Amino acid sequence: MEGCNAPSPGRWNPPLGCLGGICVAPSGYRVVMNEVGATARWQVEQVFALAPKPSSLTAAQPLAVPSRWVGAGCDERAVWGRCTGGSAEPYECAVDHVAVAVRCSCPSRVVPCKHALALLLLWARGQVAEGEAPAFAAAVVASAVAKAARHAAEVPDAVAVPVPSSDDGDDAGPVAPPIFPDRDPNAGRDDRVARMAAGLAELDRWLDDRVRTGLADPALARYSTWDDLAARLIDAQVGGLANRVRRLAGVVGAHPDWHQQVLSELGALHLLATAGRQMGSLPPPLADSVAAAIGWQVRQADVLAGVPDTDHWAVMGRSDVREDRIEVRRLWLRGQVTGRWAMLLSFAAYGQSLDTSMMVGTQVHADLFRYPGALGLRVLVGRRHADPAPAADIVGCSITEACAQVGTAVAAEPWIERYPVCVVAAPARSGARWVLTDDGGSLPLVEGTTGIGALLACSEGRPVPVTVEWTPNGMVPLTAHLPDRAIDLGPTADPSFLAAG
Amino acid sequence: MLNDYWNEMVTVALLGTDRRDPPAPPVGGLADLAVDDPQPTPSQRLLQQVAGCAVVRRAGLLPSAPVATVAPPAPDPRPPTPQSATTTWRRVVADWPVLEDEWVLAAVRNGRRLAPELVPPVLARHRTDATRHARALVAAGPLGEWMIQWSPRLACTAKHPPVVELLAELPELPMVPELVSLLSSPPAQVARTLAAGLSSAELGRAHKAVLVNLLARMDSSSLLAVAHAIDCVDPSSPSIGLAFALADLAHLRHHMLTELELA
Repeated sequence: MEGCNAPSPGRWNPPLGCLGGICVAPSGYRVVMNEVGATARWQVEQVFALAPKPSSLTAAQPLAVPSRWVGAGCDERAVWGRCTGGSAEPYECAVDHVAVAVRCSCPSRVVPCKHALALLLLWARGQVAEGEAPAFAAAVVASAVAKAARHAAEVPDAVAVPVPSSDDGDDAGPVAPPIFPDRDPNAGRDDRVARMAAGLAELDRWLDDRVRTGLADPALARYSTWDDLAARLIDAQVGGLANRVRRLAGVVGAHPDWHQQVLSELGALHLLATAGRQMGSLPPPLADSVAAAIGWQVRQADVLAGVPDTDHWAVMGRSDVREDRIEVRRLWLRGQVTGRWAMLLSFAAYGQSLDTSMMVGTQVHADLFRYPGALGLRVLVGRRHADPAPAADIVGCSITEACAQVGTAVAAEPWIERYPVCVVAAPARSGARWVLTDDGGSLPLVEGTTGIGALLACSEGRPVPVTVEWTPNGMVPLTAHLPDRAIDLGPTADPSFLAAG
Repeated sequence: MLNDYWNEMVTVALLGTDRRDPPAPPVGGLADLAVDDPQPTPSQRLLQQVAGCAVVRRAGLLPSAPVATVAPPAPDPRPPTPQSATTTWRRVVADWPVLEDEWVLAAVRNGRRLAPELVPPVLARHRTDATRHARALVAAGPLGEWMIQWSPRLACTAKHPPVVELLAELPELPMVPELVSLLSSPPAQVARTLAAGLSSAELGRAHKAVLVNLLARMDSSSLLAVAHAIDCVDPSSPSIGLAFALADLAHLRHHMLTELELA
């Protein structure tokens, strides 16, 4: 067995671009013949090298104890077990450690999931007894053997086998097993991926029809045109795109420049449809961003298993937006030390409540856990180290700097619809529009935003630090940071919608 | 150049690529994109270029020229209503609007001006009532007139002029004769009467409007005693829901008046 160009044990080596079990070997991996046969037990470092990202290992460590596993066993070909945890039913996990095929009944789209990594760690540490493979483990082995046979018949030298590097000083042991399967045999996830791919293809065909027949087509003025597509996208489990399509229905004819806005958004949809179908070839952070944008959910447990981002987080702004039948609250946080932005989302259906645990103008010393993605804006709050206190030393940037920050964010995730910046600027009138201005330039505010009047009153026309949300249509004022207090100017949810229940 | 290209693409998209071919991209990144990833049909070429151009336009956000700032309003030496009073005002408006006139008057009588963030919503709320709008302008001070100058929708739209004599007075509220005497009775007697009536269900939902008016206009020194007495109404009484509501009103009125006092 040959081996080189392999990930060093214990080092972060994103080996594959994945979407729900479809895994693509990156070009830097040597392709060698996979030896099918018995192997010795892996080294822990080999398990580390298998992790798709560092947070997977962090998540796996607490599960790599015998008490979390029922019916764990191994033989010369596979290791298996049922992991008990948060769900009612334990997850059935099996790993073919020869062909390196993984199957787990958990819903995670990360491959291999933390359960598989934990099971391998347990096995590598010699904490799994030998036994007879149950049916679900035997199925993994059978599937892997059949696949290897097919593969060998088609392409004799085509299995990606990254193995521990020989120059890293570690003794990798007598056997260097392949590190990842060519495909995850998890049929459920493959089905979903296939549905999503079909949905993305259909969306692109629909977009193609629209630009072929023209935006002046009267059909575009009918809500049903958009709703029908949105329904099909939901069926294809790309709900994120369905929401964007639905919102477009309300833009058609809404103002004289509606066709510019619609065309721009059709471009973003095309971009996402194209990127979604090429997910495997994208860098992992970008692939995660695309997956999130098209509607792939990441489990909170997986996010909370990541590395925390600890800081004193100032609550810079709040924005409530009704999206379909849900009120969505975005709380924008900024690290006082790092200056990094984070977004805390909460949702409320009719009669439910939005998150009120963080108030604009306060700061909290807390651990935040970031969702994967190129920007990594969305977070979950972990441990709070102290009670909230009034935020101090709010620093704003210039209008020019704000443009640069927005540009950087859009370049990282071109489909984002909002991004926060804190500028020191004054509200002023430019023709028929309100703008934020400083010595270096001005940026338009979104017309009709309720916060403009309050911003004008609070600032009395003078420059003040103000947190705004960039949108493609202009800036939305969220918070005026006055010397003695912060004034929440953000769009507010309809109280009758929230409280009526 | 990019704007011209974008406008041409908008025109083609409006007409449809069945009728007009997409324009050629300008030299640069978009042209490179077209060469690197050639598309077979005009509609696909347009979609590719629209996606690329939209990203370039957004990522290349540039500020417009600076704009002259507006002259600030004349200074108002009065202290603003405290931040917590803004929350209380929102609660008053949402739950007990019968208290709003008193809230504005209390602010003025205590020598306060409206907190700036409250000026637009208070003016907008009363633009159809000349007297209340005028009272709000007094509370807002110079900032109120200044805001109307920049946001004319905050101006009063009522046809009749304000009644000057009513500016400093609370409007009268309807009251039944049996309850009028309670307006000036000692706090303990008011509390006893209301608690007994609610416990025995002699006072019920049908009396809510007059009881609300009573609590909104009674001597403010009686409010806490009344609230505590109502809090102790027998939970099995059919009027317990009304009792909760009246206690909330009494607590809120006491809270808002205390909050607006100058330290």
